[in-house]
Amino acid sequence: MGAGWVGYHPQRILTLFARAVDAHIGLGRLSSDAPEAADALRAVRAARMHLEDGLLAHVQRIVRSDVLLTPVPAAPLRSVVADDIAELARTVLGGDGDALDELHELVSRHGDDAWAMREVFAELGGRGTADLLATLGSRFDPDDAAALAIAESLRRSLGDVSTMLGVPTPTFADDLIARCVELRAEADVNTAATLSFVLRSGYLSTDLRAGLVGALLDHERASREREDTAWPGGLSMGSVLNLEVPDDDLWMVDDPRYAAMASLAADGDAARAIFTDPSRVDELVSGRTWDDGLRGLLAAGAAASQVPADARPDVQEQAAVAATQLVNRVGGADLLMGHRLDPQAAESAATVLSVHMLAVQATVSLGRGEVSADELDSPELATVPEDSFGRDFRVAIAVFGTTPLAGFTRLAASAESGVATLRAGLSTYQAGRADGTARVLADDPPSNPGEYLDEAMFQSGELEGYFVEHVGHEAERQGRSRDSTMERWIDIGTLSLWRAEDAVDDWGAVEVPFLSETLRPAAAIAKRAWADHEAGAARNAEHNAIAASDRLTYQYYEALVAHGVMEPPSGVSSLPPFEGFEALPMARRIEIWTDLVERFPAAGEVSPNGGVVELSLKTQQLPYYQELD
Amino acid sequence: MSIESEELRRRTVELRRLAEAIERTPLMTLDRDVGPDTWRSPAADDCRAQLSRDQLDLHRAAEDLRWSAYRLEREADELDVLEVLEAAARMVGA
Repeated sequence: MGAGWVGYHPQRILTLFARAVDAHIGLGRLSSDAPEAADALRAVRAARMHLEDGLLAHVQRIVRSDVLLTPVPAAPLRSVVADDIAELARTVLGGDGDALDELHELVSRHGDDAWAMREVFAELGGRGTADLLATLGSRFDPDDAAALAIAESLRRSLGDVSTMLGVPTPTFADDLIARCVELRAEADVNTAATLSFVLRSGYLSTDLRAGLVGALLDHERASREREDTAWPGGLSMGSVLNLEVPDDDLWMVDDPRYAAMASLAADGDAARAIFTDPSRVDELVSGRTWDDGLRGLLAAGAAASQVPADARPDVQEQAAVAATQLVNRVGGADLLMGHRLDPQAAESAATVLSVHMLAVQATVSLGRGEVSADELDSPELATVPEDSFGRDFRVAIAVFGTTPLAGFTRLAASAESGVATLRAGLSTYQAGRADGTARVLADDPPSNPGEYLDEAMFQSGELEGYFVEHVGHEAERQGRSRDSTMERWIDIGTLSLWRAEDAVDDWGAVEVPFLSETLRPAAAIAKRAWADHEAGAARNAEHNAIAASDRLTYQYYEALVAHGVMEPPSGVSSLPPFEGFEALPMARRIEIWTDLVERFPAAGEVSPNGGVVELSLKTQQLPYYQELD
Repeated sequence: MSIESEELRRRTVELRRLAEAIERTPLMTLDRDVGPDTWRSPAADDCRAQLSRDQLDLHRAAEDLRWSAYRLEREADELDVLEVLEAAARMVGA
């Protein structure tokens, strides 16, 4: 180690940083579905968290600090290179095309030297960088490949510098946006295309990405308040920076907000920085229209709303805040009325709901009211019990108002791909809920286990019914066949015991003796409740409720058997997952199901009541059928 | 081979795969890059100690996985033998 070295070896610490990042990623990729792997995966998660909070955090601070810069032996050479590049850049800015090739050569040779390029960007600042990129994009012969090559190299270097060493100057992002705003009225440059070009980079650090998008939104808000156009279109020049954009997407480059959303969609941390800021989400949702059918906005919102299951609690809470902002503002806005919705927007919305299904459950089961504008400006999360972690464990969840949640759910159900994503998310949630309930009953049973189980199953049924209602409603609005959509929704997880016998008629006409025992109590209650309603509505609701409640009931049986709360049916050691059960020969399915539902609970044993699920399902979807009838 | 023993064998393979993946993860060789010739400070000492503990825990976890895989494999073997014996008994009975 040479003189002047203060506790770190610059090159080795960079290597350590890169390998620690690899180690962090590597640990995150380890997973297994084998139950015997649970302890090992806990050790993996602990090691990953230690790495993240300890070594990685320390080394990252060192890498980004000036202490590493000062004693680097080659600093004088780097300064010379940086000065040369910055000087050539100024020459190019003056319109000297002859300097292009020389600049190209220098940037190609030294673009990977993050230390040198950091000095270049620090010297140019955000304003000079904006000038240079805009000039390269618009003021040279479009056939000259050097301009685009230099711009691409600079963009890549900016990403490397910001990721490895931090944003070049504290005000870099603000300055770059401010300069683009100043230049937007110039007839011979296209600063909107310049910004889109920068934001399309896959390499920007989270800080720089969030800084650029935040400053962009602040400019757009200011323009809107002045009733000014943020990015005047029509008069703008073409730009060689657009050559990398497919023809179908060219219409987006003159409005950098589309690139901004794509950029956030690729970086969840940056997306959360924006989507947890009430004023910026408001600007995104109410400030303008979106010509991409909300595809970009929802993709960015979905990135902000989801984090890995083992993320730190504070990051999970940020994701819940982001989901609160997104669902309440998008679901409750006129935005949905004025837009042709893109199928990918529906899929992103379905992802958000799937990730935050516990919050959806809370709104559906607790009958939460609306979330006021004031509450959205300083959102607070709700806390609810989460049985998966133990009976008294509580988690912070997003808060969805009833009306915006309904709007957002309709958005999610507006395309087939969204419906499929919702169905998968809901099935995963329901299986987890059944498992958590069974675990509590096995490990820490409450004083009245039967009531506890009924409550959990009732809420599962309510949630299923909520989605049946909204998926069907949206199918009707979209002109798709309501009943076929509903059947497809339910069919994915329907207990198909009767298919062979029942292929030619509607379900209600077939007597299924071994199910009637389970369903009779609910059927009697429902009959009384619906005495005044149209027969057709009741029959449709019952049809759907029976189909969906049997799957849910099976999931509870499976979980209770898995945790030893119930004895398995004779001849098997455990119940297979629902898909496996469906694959069994029909005679075997009937045998197992009959064994489960006809047995009397032993002393101290609880037994799922399918009627509870069915009743809650019917209650949730009935208003919709009444409306249709 | 019964459905149960097939499932046990699937999990055996899965556990051994995970054990190997854990031992090959870059964290297990990260100590080579974090020596005093790279970084010296009290925080560095703490990080090295923690890394060492985590590597030890992960080695143990991998060993436990292999032991679990071994037990599952034995269990699967026993189930298969039982199935053969039952089939033989049925043939003798017939």
